[in-house]
Amino acid sequence: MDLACVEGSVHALLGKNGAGKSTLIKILTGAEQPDAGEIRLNGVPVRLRSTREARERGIAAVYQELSLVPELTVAENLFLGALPRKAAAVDWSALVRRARHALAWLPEPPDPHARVAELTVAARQLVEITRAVAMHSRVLILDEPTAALGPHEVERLFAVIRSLRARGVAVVYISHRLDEVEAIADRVTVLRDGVRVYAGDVSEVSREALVAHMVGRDEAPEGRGRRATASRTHPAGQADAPPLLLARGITSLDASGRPLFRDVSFALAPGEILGLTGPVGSGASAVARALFGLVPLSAGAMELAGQPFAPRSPREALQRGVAFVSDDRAGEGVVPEAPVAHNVSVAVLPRVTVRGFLDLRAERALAARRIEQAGVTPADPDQPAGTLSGGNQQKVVLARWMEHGARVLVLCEPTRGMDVAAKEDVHRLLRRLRDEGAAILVVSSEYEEIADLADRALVMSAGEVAGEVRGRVTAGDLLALASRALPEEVRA
Amino acid sequence: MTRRLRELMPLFILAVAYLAFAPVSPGFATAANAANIAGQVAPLAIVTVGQALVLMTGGFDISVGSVAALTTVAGSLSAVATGSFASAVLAAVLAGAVCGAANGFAVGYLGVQPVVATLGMLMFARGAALLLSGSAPVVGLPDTFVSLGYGEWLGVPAAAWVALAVVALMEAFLVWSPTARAVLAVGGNETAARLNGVPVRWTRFVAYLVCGALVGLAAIIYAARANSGQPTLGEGLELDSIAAAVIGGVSLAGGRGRMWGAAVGAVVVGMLANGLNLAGLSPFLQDVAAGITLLLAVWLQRARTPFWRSRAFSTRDARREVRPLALPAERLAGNDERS
Amino acid sequence: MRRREASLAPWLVILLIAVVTAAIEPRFLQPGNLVNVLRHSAVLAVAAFAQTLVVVAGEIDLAAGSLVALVSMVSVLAAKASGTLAGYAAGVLTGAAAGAVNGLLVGRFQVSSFIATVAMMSYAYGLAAYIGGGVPVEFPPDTFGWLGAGYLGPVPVPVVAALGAFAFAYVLLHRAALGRKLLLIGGNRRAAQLSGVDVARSVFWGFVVAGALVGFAGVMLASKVHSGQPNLYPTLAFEAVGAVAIGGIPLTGGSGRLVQSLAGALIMGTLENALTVLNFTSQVQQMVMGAVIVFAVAANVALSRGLRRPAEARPGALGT
Repeated sequence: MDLACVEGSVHALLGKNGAGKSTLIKILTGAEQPDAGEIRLNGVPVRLRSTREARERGIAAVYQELSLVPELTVAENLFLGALPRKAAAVDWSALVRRARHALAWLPEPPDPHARVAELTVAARQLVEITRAVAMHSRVLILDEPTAALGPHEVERLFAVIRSLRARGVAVVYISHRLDEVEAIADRVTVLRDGVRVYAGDVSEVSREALVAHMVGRDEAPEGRGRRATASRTHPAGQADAPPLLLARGITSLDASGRPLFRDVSFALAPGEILGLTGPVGSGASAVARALFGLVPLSAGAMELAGQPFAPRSPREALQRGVAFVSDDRAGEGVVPEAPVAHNVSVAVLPRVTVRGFLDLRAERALAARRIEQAGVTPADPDQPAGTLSGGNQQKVVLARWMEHGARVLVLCEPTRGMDVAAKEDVHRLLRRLRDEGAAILVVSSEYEEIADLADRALVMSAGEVAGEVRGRVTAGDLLALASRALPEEVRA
Repeated sequence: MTRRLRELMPLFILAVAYLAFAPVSPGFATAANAANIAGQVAPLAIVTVGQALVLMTGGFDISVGSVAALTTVAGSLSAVATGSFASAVLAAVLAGAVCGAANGFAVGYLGVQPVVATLGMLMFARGAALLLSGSAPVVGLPDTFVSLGYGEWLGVPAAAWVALAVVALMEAFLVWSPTARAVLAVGGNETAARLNGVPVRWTRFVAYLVCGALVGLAAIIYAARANSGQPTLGEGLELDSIAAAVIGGVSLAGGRGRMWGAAVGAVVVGMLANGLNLAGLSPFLQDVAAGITLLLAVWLQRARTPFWRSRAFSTRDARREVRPLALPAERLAGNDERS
Repeated sequence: MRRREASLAPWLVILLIAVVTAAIEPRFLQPGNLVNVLRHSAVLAVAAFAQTLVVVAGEIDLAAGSLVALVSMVSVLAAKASGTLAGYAAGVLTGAAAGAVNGLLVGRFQVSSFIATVAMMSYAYGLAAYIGGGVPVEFPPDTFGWLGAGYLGPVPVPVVAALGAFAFAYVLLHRAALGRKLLLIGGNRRAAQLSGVDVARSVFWGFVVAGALVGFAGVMLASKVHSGQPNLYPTLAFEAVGAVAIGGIPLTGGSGRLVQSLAGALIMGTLENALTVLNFTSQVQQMVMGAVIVFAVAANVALSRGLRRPAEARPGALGT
């Protein structure tokens, strides 16, 4: 993989999720080590063993809001770890002065004395960007910096990027929005499956060509930004069944009152896999969480099998037959210390309880049967789940819901981080569950996955449904819908 | 609620507590009793600001009571042996700092949970205090102790002046010291602190050390007020100091608080004990009251916490959506299969 | 294989303490003293079983020390009023009621268990002292002493009682849905919740049962000293946490076998007895115990750091 960034230029990095962008950033910021090859800075080969080392060499990346301390002031966060000092004490006036200076590029700079916790998500992101800029880095990596920003703030950001470019900073700009790339970038590199498939000047290449490079030629979009195509014959043949789960205009707000998603409607029938996709920040995974009662709705309503459905807790959703598979496998999927058998039986403990006691033998047998069906390897119910690979952990979770007998299965990023074989296994399992009559909603930011799996797909952008793809779902269609749908366009 | 209002909350609680006791406790609302409370509260306030610093890292120190016993014995023994007040202070503060350093080392560098590390110290220091003193109070302190314990200056007990100075110093420390800012950063968002080059382990270590040293200083005042080194000193001090800090607006989750607020919290706790005493409540029921006070303080803090920060509401759900790529440093280290 | 070795380690430690002590002071091995070790460990073991139920769920109970005092007062008063059995029952019920308060605060109101139980430590002590006006209550019926000081043939009753408590807690932790849920909650609270485990309710019942076991330990103590005392065994909770940790159960929750707590309690009991036999004062014993607990946990953390992914064992991730 080659990537040459010239000082004083903005270099866009494109690629679908999973194309290798994140790994590249991790290597450039010293968070991960390359297996082969070298990084040169100003022509000199460098080794970046830690994030700190990378920073000292002038490479800065905009991390997410996670790297801000909410209870400290904006000024302190900007210079955290390197507070200006006078004698042994913090030089507050210098700190605030420098913070004001650093924040001056913003149309409405936050008060340096304000605590980060009081800021909106967008403002936090701007602080984060400001921090990277304020480090006077030579290479600045911006990973989807506009995800939480409004158009006005995006414009400002672009102005700053241009001035940085004029100062000789090399900017690596990662975005899914092709219009942004055209507006700000000088050069563009497209990654696919970890390999560079295109590099050139932005002015020399069309959007269509870039999309084609991102998805691969054989999957080029068939139409230009369709909202919805005419319904074709459904492959599974069961879609005529009445919908099991209905969402009507559901809307949810985050803590600062911005919508996580807005006015989302869909119907999910038994025996169907509905894909829900969209770029970073599109709101797709929040929709999935709302179905399980994890994100409160502020408007709209849901129906399950004709009855009103408004789960307030996972327990309630499960009792109604709706199960959820989180994208955070380590945090919300398996219990790592517990044996596989316990991880499978957790949702059906009454089923293996006889007169108040657990029937360990029955539990083990039940788990052994399910993990064999799910294809967990090794098929050992006694092994701690945490020792399995990610793919097998996911199969354990699916075995849990197979045993539970959920009617509706909601999955977030079901194969994130898995190799091709494991991915295929999970997909096969999901198709089988569909054929057995389950209604499945898959949220994934990998367009291929949706194309491969879904009978029908909704594309979300900026919290709203940007379009629907019926019939044969292709990655190209999804990407085309997602890339060109600007918030303004959708509202119109 | 805005931040300023929230920071003034401890004063509000203080006023309410005062007004509540004034009519029911005979002799409560008098100048003499105010001075009395000030003297009683002084050592607690000093311990509380130390405890507050540890709380701000997201930990806690339940050994403060035993360490107070050990240091009061150490200080008293040193005073009796040398006849010098300064050597007593030095011995007590040093002993406290050593205990605090041991706690800080266990928590910061060995990765032992704060509960266990300070629990071990709780047992160790109590044993050491009893051993050093032969299980009897250390008596025969120089006269300087008496003037510290019961002397007055401008109508205010000397001990209260000391406490006031310590609180002011610690407030200045919190505002001006890079280490104290690091304490808030570590308690507020450890990942961010680490990513930005804050020495997390060292910061934790220092917080416990400072807490221990302050307990040593408070122990001298305790010795002065008892005119002896009591090896049984400090039962319930961990509870009082944590309750005081929490009433004073120090977050139990770490990362937030003011030293003066913690000190005001200590006054509230001291006033409560004093008021209940004057109201004729059995001293045993005052322990009951102390426990309930702690729970109330925590409840109050929870009520003041914006709902999206409380445990009941899973912020992860809402936040993840904003940036699905938001990886904590742990994950940046790379344990994806892909890597 | 590795797990088996780890679970063997505590027993080897007991053996080591015994061998070293016996080498210095052969009287340690006299049958009478060995029975003493068991008798002394019995109460601590029961408290450690209670602690285990709480610890596997990722919580902690620091109130046991004060609680046994309260239990002893209530139990003796009830025994004086309505007989020995009523006394025993009242003690256990008092423990369960206190556990219910803790469980309600921790499970339903999401107060950290550290805070909830430290508060309980204070008001349980206050109530214990208040009930008796600060002095012990004495003279329960003679039969009251059976549980703590009686013998069944050559075997002390408290040892049998501790074994009974072990069987009860073992079944609850490893053979009942409640124990399973507590383990899953401690292992991954979110995953358990998303799988339909009622976290608040399970934590509540975990604390109730733990409280009842502490109540039982309190009754054993009261019976042993034949009185109710407001200062019965103030360090019991700390020693119980220590026993659990020394047994090798991570205080972060999610895993643990009850037999580990038994081993931990026996280590503590053996060590205390060894120090007594070797003529160390109780103060030194207390110091040694404090240091041993911290070192055991530090070693535990270091070991699990080696076994787990390094990212998971950062000190910050271990705060309660």
